[in-house]
Amino acid sequence: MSAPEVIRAVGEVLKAAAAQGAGDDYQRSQVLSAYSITRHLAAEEGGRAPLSAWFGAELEAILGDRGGGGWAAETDPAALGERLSLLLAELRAAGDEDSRRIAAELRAALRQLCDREVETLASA
Amino acid sequence: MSAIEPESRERAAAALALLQGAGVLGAAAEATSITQLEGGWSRQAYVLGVRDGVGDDAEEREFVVRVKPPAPLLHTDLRQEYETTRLLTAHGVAAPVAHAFEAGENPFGGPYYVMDRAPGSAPNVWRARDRAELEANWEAGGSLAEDLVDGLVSIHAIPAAEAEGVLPLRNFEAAVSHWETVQNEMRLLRDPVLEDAYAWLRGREPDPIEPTLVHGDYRIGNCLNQDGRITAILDWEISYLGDPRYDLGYISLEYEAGKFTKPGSELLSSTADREWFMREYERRSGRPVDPEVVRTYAVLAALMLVAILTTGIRMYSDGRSEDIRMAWVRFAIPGLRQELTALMDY
Repeated sequence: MSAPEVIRAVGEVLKAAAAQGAGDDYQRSQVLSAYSITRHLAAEEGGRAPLSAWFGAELEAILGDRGGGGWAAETDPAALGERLSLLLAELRAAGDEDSRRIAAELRAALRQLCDREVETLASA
Repeated sequence: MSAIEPESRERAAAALALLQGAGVLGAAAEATSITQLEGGWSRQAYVLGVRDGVGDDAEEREFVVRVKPPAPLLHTDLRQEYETTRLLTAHGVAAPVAHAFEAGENPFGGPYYVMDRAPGSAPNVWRARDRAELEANWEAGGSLAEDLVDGLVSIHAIPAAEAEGVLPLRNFEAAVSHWETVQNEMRLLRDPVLEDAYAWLRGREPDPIEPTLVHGDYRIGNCLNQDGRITAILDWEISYLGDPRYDLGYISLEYEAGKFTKPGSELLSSTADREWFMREYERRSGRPVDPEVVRTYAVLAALMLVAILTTGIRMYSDGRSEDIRMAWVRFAIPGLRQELTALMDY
């Protein structure tokens, strides 16, 4: 079984536990929230690799060596968030035409990333 | 108090005594029930049932006990919320009538105040059934939309000068800095979209207008309604004095119309046609509505929501909360981030 399949299986157990009505309202809402987490997490895990590959390729095409390069290989979300935040701040501060153009392209890629991420979660 | 579970009796007795001390209830009043409502994020709430009086003249009443728990999502001031609620009712705003505040040691485990229980229920716009009911109300004439716009106009009719000493004054820069600080302190990782949004805001400071009381979380989900009318406006915990147009930006968010990972209602707060609401607010308040200013405040509002959700995630991650909903809210952030990119024309 894949990781998303296992997560979904755990979720079905939680859903069944909530349906049996054990515990008070608070406990039931906790179990239902846990079930909802498994649904969304399974969708997120299922879409992670293709989304990451697409975004890495987009960054390579837009940024190339700018900001240290190696964008397609950067898969750690925390490191990627840090690098992109710093780079976007630099582009904002520079303000020249080239920086504005690259910032606009980077923002367009980030918007597509947001759209695709939400689309992936919506399949939960 | 015989129907009350033994572990709840101290709480019921404490709330009853507080109401008696405030002169709201007579000496013969008796607590008949106390039940905890489904968990709030920064407050716990209990419904206290009371029989006031004796014999045939006895009156059944219900009160809400609002408690600040030891580890709330937001460390907002409960006494300030209590004082704000009293100020609002004195000005004729449809807020619950608050009677008494207790800050000392007590069985609820934190400071609390007691208010009347207003009739009605609050819709949940993230639930399709509730959205459908709200949309049907709009199609049938929009009585809730009328009350929603009137409620906001009545809040914004309270000038800052009349609430000084009760609420903090927060101008645009202070509001932006406040939520940016929360975000930076609570984040688990840096987010380029959020950081860009804060920079975007700083380039769009609206021309200042006369500050008023700002609800800060004004939406149909914070309004009790019954028989198609709003009976009470709730949740004043993040209210402040500032630019009233913030509330317009907040209520215009698609998130507040039920968007999560799927679209919500096309109606504002699932309740009113968007253009109608802004037009009527403008007409009834006499305050011009600039769509670009509303857009600026919508971005600030989305950032505020992300900062609050991030706080919940941080609390769960650090083991300061065992409420699994604090972890669940991470799935609300992508939709808000998406809305931010749309609002900023990415």
